[in-house]
Formats: sequence, structure tokens, C-alpha cells
Amino acid sequence: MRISYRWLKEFIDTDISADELAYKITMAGLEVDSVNKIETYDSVVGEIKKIDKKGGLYLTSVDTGGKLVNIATSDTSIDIGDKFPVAVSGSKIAGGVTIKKREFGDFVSEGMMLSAAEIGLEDTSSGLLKLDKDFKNGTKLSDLDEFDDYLIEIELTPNRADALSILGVARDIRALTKLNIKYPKMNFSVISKNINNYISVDVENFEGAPRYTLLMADVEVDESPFFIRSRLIKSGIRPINNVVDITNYVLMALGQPMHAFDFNRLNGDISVRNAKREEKILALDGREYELDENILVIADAKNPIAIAGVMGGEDSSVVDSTKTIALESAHFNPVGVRLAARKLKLHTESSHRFERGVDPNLCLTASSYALCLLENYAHAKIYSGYIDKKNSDFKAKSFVCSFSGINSLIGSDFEQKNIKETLEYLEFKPKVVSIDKFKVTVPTYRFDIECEADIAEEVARCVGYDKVPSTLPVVQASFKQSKPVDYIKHSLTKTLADTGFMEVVNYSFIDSGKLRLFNDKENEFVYLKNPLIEGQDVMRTTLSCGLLDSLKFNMNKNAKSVALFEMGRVFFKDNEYSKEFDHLGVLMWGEASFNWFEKDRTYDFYDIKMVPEIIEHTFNIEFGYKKSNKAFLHSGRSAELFIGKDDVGFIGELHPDLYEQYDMKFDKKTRILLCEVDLDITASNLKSTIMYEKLPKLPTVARDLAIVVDKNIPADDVKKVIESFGNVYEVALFDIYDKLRDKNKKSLAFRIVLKNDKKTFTDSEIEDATNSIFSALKVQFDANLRGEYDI
Amino acid sequence: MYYIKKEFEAALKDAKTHEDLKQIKASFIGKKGRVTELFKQMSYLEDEQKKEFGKNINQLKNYIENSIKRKLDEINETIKRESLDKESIDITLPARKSAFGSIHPITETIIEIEDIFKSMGFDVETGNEIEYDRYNFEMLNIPKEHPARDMQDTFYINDNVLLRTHTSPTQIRVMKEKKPPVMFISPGKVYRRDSDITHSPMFHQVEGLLVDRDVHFSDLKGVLSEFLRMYFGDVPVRFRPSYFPFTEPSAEVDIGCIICKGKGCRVCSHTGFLEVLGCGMVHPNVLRNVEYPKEYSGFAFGLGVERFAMLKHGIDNIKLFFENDIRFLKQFS
Ligand SMILES: [Zn+2]
Repeated sequence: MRISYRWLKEFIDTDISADELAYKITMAGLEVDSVNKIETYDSVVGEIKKIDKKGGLYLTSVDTGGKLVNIATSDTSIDIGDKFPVAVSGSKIAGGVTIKKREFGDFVSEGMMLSAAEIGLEDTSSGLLKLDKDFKNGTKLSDLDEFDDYLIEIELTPNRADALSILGVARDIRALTKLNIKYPKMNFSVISKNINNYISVDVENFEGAPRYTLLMADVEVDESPFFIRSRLIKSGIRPINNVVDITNYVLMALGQPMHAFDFNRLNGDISVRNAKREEKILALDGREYELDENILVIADAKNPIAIAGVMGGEDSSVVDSTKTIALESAHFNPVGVRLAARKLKLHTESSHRFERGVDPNLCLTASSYALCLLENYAHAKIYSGYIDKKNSDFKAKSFVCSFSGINSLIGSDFEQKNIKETLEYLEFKPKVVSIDKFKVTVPTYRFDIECEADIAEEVARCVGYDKVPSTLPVVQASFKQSKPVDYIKHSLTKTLADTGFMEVVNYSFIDSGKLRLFNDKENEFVYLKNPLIEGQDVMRTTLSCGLLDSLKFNMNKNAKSVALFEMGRVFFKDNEYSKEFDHLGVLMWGEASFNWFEKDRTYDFYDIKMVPEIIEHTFNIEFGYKKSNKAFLHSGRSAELFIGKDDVGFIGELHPDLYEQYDMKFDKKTRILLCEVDLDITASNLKSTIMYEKLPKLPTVARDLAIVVDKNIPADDVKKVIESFGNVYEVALFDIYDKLRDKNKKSLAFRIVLKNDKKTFTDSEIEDATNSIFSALKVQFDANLRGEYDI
Repeated sequence: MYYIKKEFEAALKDAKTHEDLKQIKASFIGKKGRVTELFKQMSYLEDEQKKEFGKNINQLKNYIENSIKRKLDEINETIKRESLDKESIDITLPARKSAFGSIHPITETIIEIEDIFKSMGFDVETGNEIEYDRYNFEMLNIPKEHPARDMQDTFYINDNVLLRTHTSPTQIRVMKEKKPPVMFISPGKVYRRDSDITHSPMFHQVEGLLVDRDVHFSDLKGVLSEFLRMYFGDVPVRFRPSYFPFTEPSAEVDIGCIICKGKGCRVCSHTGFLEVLGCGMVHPNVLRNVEYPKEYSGFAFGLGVERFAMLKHGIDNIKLFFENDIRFLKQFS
């Protein structure tokens, strides 16, 4: 909400500067976004004396106070005798731009007539800002009242419906400064015509419209005086004509949305009812809206004439020819208005206020103010009598609070007198009922106040949060322990970052088309009902999609080596709801050896295999590897990971067919490697303690054993057999050679560390031990000793 | 004898190799060396002079022997050093390690925030990112048609399930499960249907809750002021009334702008202050919704992790966090 400082000062008697006032209300809960001084530079009042039309241009002669200035303009609304703000060449306009002379053929335009935006009253304007005719030509704008002003932009929280007006802001200022509110004049005289002889109102739905009032007047429609138009512009409301402007002026001043109907364009009496199915209305914004039974409308005998609390209809609107108006001032149900506005996607100054709550006791006060202004600025002749439909009175709510309760919640030591007085300045009525208790009556414009905590806040915000002390809570000491999965996440994050991986964070919603490449069980997908963009329509069930997007992004930036990891949730549909799990995802691609000590190596399976091994070693877990048959992985170069029987993830190369889906080319040399691990399952298998294993008592001996086996035999299977011997302490594979003459064979070399706890090995015992290991390998894998094998 | 000594010293000074030393040794104290020759001349002297002369020659001989020995050590040392110098390597080359990775600035910020609150005795809880409307809104005192829902444009899964718009539903989840007192923070992802230079449809928050007997708004001020000073250093902290449906009284917390030190700059919109936290006393309706006894009160707060990270590292576009440009990420290694 943007308001004029000058207008605000008409409601509260203060000399406090705009900036200081802004600070005060900000610290009391009405957050001021900005305070801007209106800067008119050297602009003056100019009157158009002569207009020549030439092509699409109007070549004018403008009187700027005894001096005629030639100005070209394309604005079609100008007329001889009109007055506008003029910036002559050399002077500045809003935004600091300097106006220069411009030549149009032999016509030299020596200045510019300005719009409201060019003076800084609003952000954009559609035409020139017309000034009042009684402003003296040549007067500097800065000497005119309405330009000596500040625009205060307030960002109101949704609870403070009461502050959505100049009066509302003034009320808070009164509570902070204890200054008086000045109410505007609201008196008017009436004529002998009585409204009840002309129109009647039938409210069918009091729940939707708890109060509906109507008054009538004969008017002369014209342009509003400048102070009304300029103040509306300052608040972001476009001036239309004096009648419409005055209803908007009252809305801004008091917070009561109002609507004026052209009485002569109504068909019979008014009813307040729910719309009929498929009933339509052409609204003031020029658009036709289709209504339904849940939307409340104001209707004449034939058609809806307004969407209650949202917007009036075009066909009954006040236009230049209007002679008589019916002036509506009502209280509509906040939820009803909100639903209608949302359904029609139509948000107006009026709906904004009704949704948040407008004082039901404000209707007639606002009407009086509007009629007073209409009498002065639209020559209104006001009919006697008024219509006021309601089915109950709007009583102020009240409840009991305790002084000690307020002080305890705040942690303050406010005196009873202080609390009481603060509330009184806010127009609350506190009545002490016992030593510690008081009954407080809440003004009907405060929809947000319901309990003692609310009263505590009112007191604290007006006294000032800075007056509340800072203390530290006294809390019970208790033992806190990280949850296993959090422990794993923290620890892995550090280890992986230290190992050379970069952590990434991707969106949780991804493209369902891409996800289908990784997961063929579409019934597991959690779709968004209202995605922001098409490519983010489903919740991820794997981190791989996001990691590939990150890779793609970096490839486009010419990255040559990418090693990423991400930890985050994945989501699986579970009936109406979803199950979410923490996953670790890793991606590697590109140069493994862009450095001085290693040449021409690209990441391969055995680089990414570091990840499950890190997990195994860090958390004392053992993964089982099984060849994977996942469709998105290279069938010969991938594995599924198991802990016991639990499937915990996968590791491997991306399937060559998938590259195309990411606009990438499969390249045998630089392949994309992926690994994903379910951290929740991993966490549930955490072994809390490691049991110590006795060290060998006597020195161990190491022997190397090189064997030749079939190429398809997994090295780890061989290793496991060797490890199964009781006297084997440690086994390490240190060489693989597959350039043998027989292309179906490979050689594996192991270093085997033997132990003997009873006595020191003799050479023959060592010989025996290695022989029996080899025999076992021969039986199991048809192994040959490398030395004996024909290479 | 004096000249012999001088000559020896001059010769020794120029000696560089074992060979040089050998020659010097031979020419002075070798079989035909000049000092040896002196001994031979002794026979021509009187007994009295002989004794004196002999003593002097011996001294000279000892001196020469010792000097040669010292020089030998010196030469050995030089030779050893020269041979090591020949093995010199470029000590400026980086270590034999593939690369250094990095922790994402969001994670790093969360860890830092967690560490501070853990040191104050807060536990860490994680909630669900896909949440019931009931937990995300209704039980937090935001009924279906509440205008506050406009503040948070929501992604829906279906009518009752949504992507949480804030970490606050964790308050409900924890309080429904645990009896008071509770004291925890809860970091995590949240989602809002909004995207521009300052808004991302997914971002991170840290929620905090403390419920116990006798918890006051003043305690909230104390704990958060302490936290902000620990995180941002010694900055002014101010509390300003605000509105959240699930707290009452509510406050927004500003710190003195850490970029301009309060003088006013673009980042703080020339106010000298930066909004960093929302907080308040847990609304009585929320405590009632989780069936906590009346004698309990508490405070809650929530902060935006990206905002903290952006302020601390001077990052000006929230999109950078989710593009995952490795040139950006590398800066945090
Ligand atoms: Zn600043």
C-alpha cells in the first residue's frame, strides 16, 4: 500500500518527518518498504494556448507564465486551455533525465508536457497529468501543495486489515505518539426526495453480505479536482471521474470499499444473492466473467450488476451522462470474497480489503464522508433516508486477560497502568475486573485480535520490542545424539569433498519424461498438480537425473572433468501420500588425470567404485555386488549394491543409448559413471561398535602368487577363496594382465600374508601353505600357475 | 716456519677436492714434505735449540694435520650437498592427489548454523518435504481460506498433500510425537511456486522450536541475538513486530547491514538493516492443536539458508545455488 505523507498528516496532527514516521511505524509492525520524496525539479504549470496538428503530432504553444514555449506532443487528450506540468529544455524529470530541444521539421520543441510517472507519482502513466485550471501559469510545481510530498510504501502483513487506509495508519501513529486523530468533515444536506421511493434492496444471503447499505444522490459527473486525482495516483489508483474517484478516495482514506451505480441504468430493485449457474457479467475492467452459485452478486431485476466485494459491472457504471447514483457501502464475508476473487482471478483494491476484513460498523460513516465530498466536488443533491440491511448488530468482542499473563509471555515488567493506557490509545477498552485481570473490548475493525497473546503483542509492539529485555531460557539439560542417517550424511559429505567430489544441489522436481528413462514403474511417481514449468512436473525417485543435468550444464561451460555428489530426498508414491528416502548420488565424467603426474586417463568404473568402498570403510558395512540389469546402465559395466538382502543402490556406466536423451554423444573414451546409494537403509545397518581382532603373535610372511584363470572369473571370487584359509592373514591383488596369447585368459597376482600363531614358519611350511591355496584355486577356477603357463 | 704456515694456509684455502688435499698433505707433511724436511734439519742444531725447534715443528705438524682433517670434513659436506642438490625437485608442484572437492555453500551454511544451535543444546530433527496440508497449514493456525496462504504460493500433489512451503510443519510432527519440553532445530528444503532473481521454487530453511514451562519472548530475543552474533559477528540486532499465523507475538529480526556497516547500500535498500529471521511465541492455537498442556509456552523461528549464505559470501543471484556450475562450487573448496 502506497500513501501520501501529506494526506496522512491530514489525519494526524504531527510534525514528525516522513522518514522518522516511517521508522516508527516500521518498528511497530507496519513495515515501510520505502519513502520517496516527490521530485519535480524545475517543472512549472503550463497552459496550452495553440494547437496545430501535423501528421501524428500536435505542435502546441504553451504559456509557462508570460513566456510561450513550443512543445510537440503525441498525446491526443489535450485541448486549448488545458494545463499540464511542463519541463522546458535543460530541466530534469523523474529519474534524473534532462529534457532536450528536439526538432520536428522546422518546429523546434523546446520542452515536454509531463505525465504523472514523469513527476514520480507513479511507475507508469498512460497519458499526461492534467492540472487544475486555477493553478497559475509558470508556478513551480514544487510550490504546489500536492507536489510537496513523500510517498510512503507500506508492506502490510495480512493480519492488519485495519491498517489498509490512511486512517488505519494514523491510528497506529496515535498509539505510538499519543497525538490526536483528526477526522475529516462528513456532513452534508439532503433534499426532499427519499431513497425509499426509488429503490429497495433485498439481501437473500446475509452470511455472504452481513450488511448492505445504499444511499442515493443526483450528481454532475466531471473530472475530479486535482488533489483527489493526484492522491489517487499516488496510491496507484487511476482517476476516472469525480464520482468514481470519490468512492476510491474514501476507500483509501477510511478503508471502506464503495461502489456507485448509475441509477438510471438499473433495471428495477436490487437484490444481494448468489449468482446463477453460468450467469455472466461484463465487469468494469471490460472483461466478461462467468459466475457460479458460490459467487455472491448484487443484481437488479434482470442481471448481476456487481460481483459482491470484487468489482462492479460495466453496464451500470457511472459515466459522463450519469445523473443519479445509488451508492453502495457494505460488509461482505471475507471468505466469500476471497473465494470469488480467486475463482475469477480478479484481485482488486476492494477484494483485497474485504478478504482481510472491513469494519462492519464503518459502512455509514464512509457513506457520509463520500456524500460530503460528492456535495462539494460533484454538486451532489443527496436524497433523504438510507437503506441499511443487516440481520444482526455487530458487537465488539471482549475477553478476559491477565496483566501477569501478558508480562510472563513477553518476559517483561510492564506496569498495569502502562498496559491499560497503551490499549486505550489503540481504541481497545480494558476494564479491570480483579487485581490481575481485566476485560478487554476489541474494536470491530481488529479482526486479528482473539486472545491474550494477541493483546500481549499489541502492548509489546506499541511499547517497543526494544524495551523487552534479552534473556536466556532456563532449559533442562538433555542428551542429544545425531540420528544415524544424519551422522552418515555429515560424515560422507566431508569425506567425499575431501576425496575430490563437488557437492551439488538439484531441484527435487524433474521432468517426468527423463525420469521414465530411469524408472519404469510410473505408479511410483509423485506428480505435481500445478508444476511451475513443464520440465519440473514430477518428484525425483533418483538423484541421477539431476546429476546428469548438472553434468550437461557444466559440459556446456566447457568443463573437462566433472566429479559430483548430491545428498537429498527421493520420493515414492504411497497411496495419497508419499514415502521419502535420503539418497547419495554420485556422477563422474571426463579427465581423471589433468595434472602433472599422470597422463591421459579418464574416469572409469574403478574411480566411482571408490564411493561404495568409502562407505564400507567409513561405516564398517559390507556391500554385496551383483551384476545389474537396470535398463539405464551399461549391462556389462554396472552392478547393484546389496547389504544382506536389501537392495541399496547401484553403480556403473550410463547406458550408451541414454546419451542421446541428454543431447550428448557416447564416447568410448570418456564415459558417464553413476552411483546411487540409499542412505536410510545404510544407516539401519550401521554397526555401532567394531570388535577387536587379535594381532598375529609371531611375524607374518608374505608370498606372491600369480595364477592364470578364465577371463570371466571375478577377481574377488578368487580372493575370497584365498581368504577362506585359516592361516591367511591378508590378501591383496596387485596385478592383472590380460594380454596373454589365449585371449580368454587373464593372469592375477596376489600378495598373500600368512600367519602362524604357534611357531615361526619354516620354508617348507610356507611352501605347503601356498601349495594348498593354489590347489584349491585349481580345483575351483581351473587355475594355472603363471610361471608354468605358456604365455 | 712462518712462511711454511702461510703457504699451507693459502694452499688449503684453494683446495676443493680430495685430490687437492692429498697433494697438500704430501707436500707439507708427506715423506718429502716441507715439514718433514724441517725435522731433518734439526740434527744441525744445538740440544737446547733442538728442543725448542722440535716443539715448534711438532706444533706446526699438528696444526697442519688438524686443518687438513677439518678441510676434509668440509669438502665431504659440500660434496654430499652437491649430490643432493642434483636431486632437486620443483617444490611448487601440487600434491599427487587428483583434486580437491567442495561442500555446497548451502550445506556448509546449514552445518555452521547447526553447530551453533547444538552448542546451545538444541537437537536436530528432520521432517518430510512432501507434507499434509493439515500439518503445513491447518495445524499451524492457517485454515483453508486464510489470506496468509497468499504469502506462500504452494505446489500441490493433491487436495490434501503438498510440497511443504516452510519447515514449520516439523514443529507439528515433533510435538505430536514428543511430550514437552522440546528443543530442536530442523533444516531442510522447502518449495514455493515462485521464480525470479531473488526467488527459487526450491530453497532451504532452518526451523527452530523451544517449548517448556516459563519460556518468554525475552528468551527468544536472547537466544536469537546470541545466535546472530555467533554467525555474523558483532552486529546490531533488532526485533520488529511482524505476523505469522502460528506465532503470537511475532517478530522479524534485522541485523545491521554487514555490507555497508549500517551506512545504507543497495543490498539493504539503503536502510542499513537486513531482514534475516522470522520468529515469535508459539501461538496458543498451535499448542492446543498438538494437545500440549496449558502451562507450556515456547518460541519458534525460521530462517532462509540461501539468504544467510548469500549475505556471508556476497552471492547476488539465488539461481547460482542450483545451477551447480563447478566454477562456482570450486570457490567453496
Ligand atoms: Zn547495506
